Amino acid sequence: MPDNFAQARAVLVNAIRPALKILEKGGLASEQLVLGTGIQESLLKFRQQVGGPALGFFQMEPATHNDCWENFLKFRDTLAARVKQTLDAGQEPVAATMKVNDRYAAAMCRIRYLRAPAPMPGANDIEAMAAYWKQHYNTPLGAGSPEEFLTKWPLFVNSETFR
Amino acid sequence: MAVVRQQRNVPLSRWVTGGALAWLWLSTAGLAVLAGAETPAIVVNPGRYGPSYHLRLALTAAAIDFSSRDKAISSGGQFTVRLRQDHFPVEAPHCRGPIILRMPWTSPVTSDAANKIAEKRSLFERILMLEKNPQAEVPVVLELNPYVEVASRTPLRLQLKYCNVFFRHASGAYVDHTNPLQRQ
Repeated sequence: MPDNFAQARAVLVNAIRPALKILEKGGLASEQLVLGTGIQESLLKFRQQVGGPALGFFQMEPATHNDCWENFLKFRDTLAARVKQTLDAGQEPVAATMKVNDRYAAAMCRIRYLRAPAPMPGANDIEAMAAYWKQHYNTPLGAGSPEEFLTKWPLFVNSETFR
Repeated sequence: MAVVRQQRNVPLSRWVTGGALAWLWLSTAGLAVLAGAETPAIVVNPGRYGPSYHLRLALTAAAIDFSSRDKAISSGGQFTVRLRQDHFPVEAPHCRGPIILRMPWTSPVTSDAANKIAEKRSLFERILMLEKNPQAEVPVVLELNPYVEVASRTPLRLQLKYCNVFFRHASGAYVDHTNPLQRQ
């Protein structure tokens, strides 16, 4: 269990927080939503879905990744340039990069939420975030449930996580 | 294998060659496509981003892998049934295990959510009852999208990209027919 807390803190500090800072879309609520998404989707452990196409800690499907670029970032030059700043030298903004660059994967996760028509829940409202994740990220077709999100959250997050 | 055949003069090829939007303006009717006599019919309906492929299937105990742990329904009426590939009429060449048939989730803020979820629960219970009644059937309507691809255009033949198919679903409700939906 302590490993879970350490891993969540490490992903937050090394990937999520830097990505959100580059995007200028940070804040506690954003951090909680993106971290909660990673916990729910991959347990911050798996970067390749078993038996499916999803990639990275946030388990975004290549089709979704590509749609974000083709139908959202393509029309937002400033935001697109910021996303590219999360790439390491020599990396391309392609779906496969989400497997090897957690910061880029976190940025794309946040981009996906930027496309949601409903406003993001407020900080510390984890129940609302679970429902928001289900509706806008996992989608009604996805296998996960808000209950799972809520069950996993305290296994990875404690009072020290967001300090 | 459900080979989809074109019916009468319906320009099915338009769906797969990018003319779907133009076709939407020309027709409000679904496009019934008949498969062989021994396989279920697949119906092609207009979808938001292209054709939607719907399939009526009679679920039986023999088709379901009851050994899996998917015997619970979650909030929002979401549940999963695992189907044996050799009983499923659409090929899934990239799927090594059972076909994963999922009832999509209904958001609690959907209009009439309680009734929609109750209908899903009722269907789930009827499906579970099949385990004790091997001769019975539960007719269901499935949607092959979005993880479906065209394996052959002439004649049109479909295959799954992965292992996933879904119960037909719209506006938070299970849709138990293969007709086109009314536009809202």
